[in-house]
Amino acid sequence: MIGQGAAGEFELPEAAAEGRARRPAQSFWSASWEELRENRIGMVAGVFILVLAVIAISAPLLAQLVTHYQPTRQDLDSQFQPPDARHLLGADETGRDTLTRLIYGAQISLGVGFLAVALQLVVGGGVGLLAGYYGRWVDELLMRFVDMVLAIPAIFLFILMSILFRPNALTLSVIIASVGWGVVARLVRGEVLSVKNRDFVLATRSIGAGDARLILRHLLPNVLPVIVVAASLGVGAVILVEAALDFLGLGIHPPTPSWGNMLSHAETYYHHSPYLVIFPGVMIFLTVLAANIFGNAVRDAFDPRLR
Amino acid sequence: MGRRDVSENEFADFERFLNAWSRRDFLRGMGGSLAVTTFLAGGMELLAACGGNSGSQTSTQNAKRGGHVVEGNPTDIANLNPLYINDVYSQTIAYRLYDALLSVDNQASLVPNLATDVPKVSSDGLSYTFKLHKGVQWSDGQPLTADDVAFTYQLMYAPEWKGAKARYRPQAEQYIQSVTAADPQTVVIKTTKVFAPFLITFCTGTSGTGGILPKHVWEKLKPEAMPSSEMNNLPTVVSGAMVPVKWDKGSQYVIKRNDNWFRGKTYIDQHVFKVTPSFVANANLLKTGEIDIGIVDNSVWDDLANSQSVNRVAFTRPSYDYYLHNLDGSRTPKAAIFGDSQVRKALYTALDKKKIADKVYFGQATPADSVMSSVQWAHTTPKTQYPYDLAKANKMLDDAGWKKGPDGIRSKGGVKMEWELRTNAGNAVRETLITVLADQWKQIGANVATKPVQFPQLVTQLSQTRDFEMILLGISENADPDLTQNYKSTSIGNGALNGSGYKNPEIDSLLDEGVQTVDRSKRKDVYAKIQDILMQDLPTPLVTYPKGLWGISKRVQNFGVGPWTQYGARPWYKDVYVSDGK
Amino acid sequence: MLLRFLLRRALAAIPVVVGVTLITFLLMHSAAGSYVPGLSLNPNLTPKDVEQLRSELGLDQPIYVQYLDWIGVAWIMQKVGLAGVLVGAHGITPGLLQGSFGHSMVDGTAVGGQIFERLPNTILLTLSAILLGVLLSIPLGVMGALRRGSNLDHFFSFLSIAGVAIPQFWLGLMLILIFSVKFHDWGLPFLPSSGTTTPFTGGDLLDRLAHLVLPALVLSFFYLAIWSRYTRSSMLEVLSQDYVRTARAKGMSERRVTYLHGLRNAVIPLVTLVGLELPGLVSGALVVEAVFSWPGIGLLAFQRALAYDYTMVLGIVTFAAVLVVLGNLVSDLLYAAVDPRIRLQ
Repeated sequence: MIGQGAAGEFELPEAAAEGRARRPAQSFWSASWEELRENRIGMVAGVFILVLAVIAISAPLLAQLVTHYQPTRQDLDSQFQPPDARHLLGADETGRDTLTRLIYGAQISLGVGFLAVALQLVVGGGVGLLAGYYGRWVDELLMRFVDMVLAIPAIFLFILMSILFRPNALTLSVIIASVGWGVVARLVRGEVLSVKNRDFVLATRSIGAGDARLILRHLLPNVLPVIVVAASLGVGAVILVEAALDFLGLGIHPPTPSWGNMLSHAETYYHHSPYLVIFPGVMIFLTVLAANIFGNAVRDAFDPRLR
Repeated sequence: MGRRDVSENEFADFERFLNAWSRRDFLRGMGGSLAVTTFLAGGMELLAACGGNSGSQTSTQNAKRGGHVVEGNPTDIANLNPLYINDVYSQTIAYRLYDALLSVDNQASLVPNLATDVPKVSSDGLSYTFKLHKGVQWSDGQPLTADDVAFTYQLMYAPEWKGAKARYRPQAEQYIQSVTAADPQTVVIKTTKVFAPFLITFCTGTSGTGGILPKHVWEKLKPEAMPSSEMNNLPTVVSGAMVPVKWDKGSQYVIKRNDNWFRGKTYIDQHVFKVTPSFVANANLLKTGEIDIGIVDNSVWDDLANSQSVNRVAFTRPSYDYYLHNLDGSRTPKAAIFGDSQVRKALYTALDKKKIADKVYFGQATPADSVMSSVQWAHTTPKTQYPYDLAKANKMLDDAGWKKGPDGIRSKGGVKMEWELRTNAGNAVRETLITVLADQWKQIGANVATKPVQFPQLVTQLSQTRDFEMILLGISENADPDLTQNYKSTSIGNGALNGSGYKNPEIDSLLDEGVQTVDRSKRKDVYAKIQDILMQDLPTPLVTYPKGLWGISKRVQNFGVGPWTQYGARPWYKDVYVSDGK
Repeated sequence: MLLRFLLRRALAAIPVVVGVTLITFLLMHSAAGSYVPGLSLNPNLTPKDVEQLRSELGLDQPIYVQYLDWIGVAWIMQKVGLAGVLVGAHGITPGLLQGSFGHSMVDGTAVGGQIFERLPNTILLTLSAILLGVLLSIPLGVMGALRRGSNLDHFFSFLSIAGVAIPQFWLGLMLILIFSVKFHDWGLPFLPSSGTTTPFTGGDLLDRLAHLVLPALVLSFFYLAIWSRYTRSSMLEVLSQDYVRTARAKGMSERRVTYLHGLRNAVIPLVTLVGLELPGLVSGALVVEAVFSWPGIGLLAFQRALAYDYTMVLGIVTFAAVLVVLGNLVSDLLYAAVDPRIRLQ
């Protein structure tokens, strides 16, 4: 269930890749970029994520100037306050301001989202490149290892590792990435295999180019689109996983706010104050939605297999 | 209308009155919380006086035979064998299946069970003689005799049964000299020394142990085979009010009426113990009728009052939530901070226990004022108290030489005032409580990090390894006020509860005196002294006395839970019936 | 041909499963450190007793010995008379190679027994979710395809995209709030929110279904979102194929065209997507099980991992890994069966 690549089967009505006017030759990247820009909904989603990232980074500033609360400031007398003038989105069980905590929570969700995906790409991409390029026993060995990692149901791996490591944003990213890299590795390896035997590679090798040079300067750029696509679709999945781990009590602990752990405590009180459950849940939903829509738009624009 | 129905109506009216108050004040968010608490506190006295559901006034005039009750709890059973019981839920079920020699009532007084009377201890204080009821049968028809009783106790103290690893073996070996079956109806237990809590601890089941096992079944096993025997959780032969039917692991445990029970037949046919998601969910399940009985979380208590089909019962429990300082320098460097008694007093003074009781417990708790719960007969309110006073707490620390640094955190002699406070994960009240405590201590310049830890690990850290800095825990007390496990210097490590490593020779000798004195009023004086000293030393300050909050479906009658009859001991059980007979 | 394929896959699977056990074993032991499980059942132990318990559970052996013990190599060595080769090996019990998962370290019950008792609950849940997903996504996808570009289609599109963005546990909580709590408050027939059956009065099919609805719905939401989109695009593709146009030209009614040719061919590839979910059959429902207190395998693993019950966790993870491998195999077979262009390699 933890997204292992099954989330990528979408077509947005506007992004159908048929019947576009063919332009004169343009580099792959600029053509793709232009196509992306034409996708209105995708761009809106992208901007949403960007704005959220800015908010997350400037959280302390916002807390100071806009909400006037620290995320960990308690005020038992304001316990369970519904949204009102003093607390725009209400307060939780110890009187902490929900809006401020949501803003700081974005740091965790987006931070872990991007970092985990980045790690997945680096490790998975690296392994995939090596396995695809060198082939034979290197390939066998690496891919068997990938099989092993992918055979353990992800959630169990997460549970075990969360017990092992003290969970903070960094270790959480590592933990989540340690499962997803396998999928990326397989993907990249597949691409490398299909690119490997093309003429330009054979030609480059025949003039004596070294392995590293070949991998980095020739294979990698051709494999990059697939990596970009995997990245864009992965962020949403990681955010969901991170929230689920927090919810189960395995991720970030209070008082550090994360959308997931705001929900785990809110669960206890949701008969009492349902809005504590609604706001963080909506944030997760909107963010993942935007990430997925933008990810789909990126895929539609950049995936060489869709051309 | 029976007397019972009248008091029930009064009860219901009073509840509605309380609710109107509490909700109004809640909405205003004002200091009406003080009024509410006063009302609630007073209300409990009133209810206790009315007899409410105290179980001493059960009426079975209109009792219908037949039907079932469903009791909900968020955990599955662990072990139902009285030799091994370690949690209250298993205890609740086990003592429907097994009987002990005695039991307790809602005032923590001993009442007879398998024994015909509560024995008076012999003049030398070492010998107890029990006369058993005649004609008691096991569920397979065999007679229950003194041999079974002797056998059960031997499993705990006799050397040849050491391999059975009974939970109370250390205490049994320490206190039981011999258990003999003088004749099939008479048992004589001799203790090694005078031990006032003996009957409560070993003969009632309230500590877990005390239920009598069938000798003819269990003597066939090798001692080493006992801890893992299937009969622990699905006993084949029992003597109690009910017999086991089935156990759907993780889901439910079902028991049904034992027609051979020596007290007669229970009115209900079956009692189902269902595993529910949480105490919060219990409120929901009570409303929808999926369960009939269950403990309810504080946060949904008020809301449950709206239900037309559920009665609520609240009472101060024999329990408390408290925190331990680790005073052992060999286990943690933080002992340097806590070793200073001014620091401990300042920390306690900085806690607004009233507000905590109102907010964190939703008003369903009272601030603690001693080292044992207010329900214990030995409870006194020591003169030394620590009312909330932030300014005073700050001054105490200033005077003691703990200066605030530029970051607001105090330090003295190079030691910064910061530590980690742990509690058991999964308990919302405790997890919230540690963040609140950390925040209140931040006001006096202490930097406290909080960490929820899984319960088994926490218990290990408390009772074995003692490698914590500060722990917040809850204690459910025994019906005896003995505090040896908590404060005696011999109770450090080895699985006992003196996790802070508190050593006080005066307390040690007072504790001994407490268990060796049989006369209750003399004992009370001893424990008064103990409470005075401990309130001055503050090794483990108590925060609140939480209430027990039970929801009981209106169709269930005579379910008389009270402070001492929540779990194993339920002397009113035989009168429970369901008004619709279903 | 098929036999060779299966054999090759089986052989390739063995090192994978062994690797899984190794990884899990190392993780569990690293996480637990020197903690002795089962202590909470009997805290009245002296350090001597704790050491004895540790020794009885075999936790004082070096890690590789513990592993060999669990795997069952130690058993074989003992049979062959080589037991002394392993440092301190004593009282060796059958291990994995002999078909035994051992006993729980927390309560001593047989691991295999617990697994097989709770497994049907999880399988019931996930299969129901898959069934629900298929049953709902076909009509949704077909309707979207037939009314392409309409508001209904856009609405369904949005639902799909939204469906994969909702956190499962949140969805579960919301559904409980509405269908269990509020429905009851409003006097409507309501759905239960925990467990598999109502005790005593329940147990019949209707009761079981009532308990199954909410958790299965939550679990199926994700599938629904993806599969309905797939069905839609698959349907669109099929409907534009030549043979369909031919059928229309020959005068076949639109309805017959849709259902006879379109539906059948569009739906069959859905099978491959369903197959993709088979590996996750056992472990994928953990979060839902937690929210609904559904007594399944996932919840058991979660609770036991927190209690450091080594053997139980190892048993469950190994079992799940084997199922993942099997699930992948079945999924590949399904794929090959459905698409004749794929050759089994």
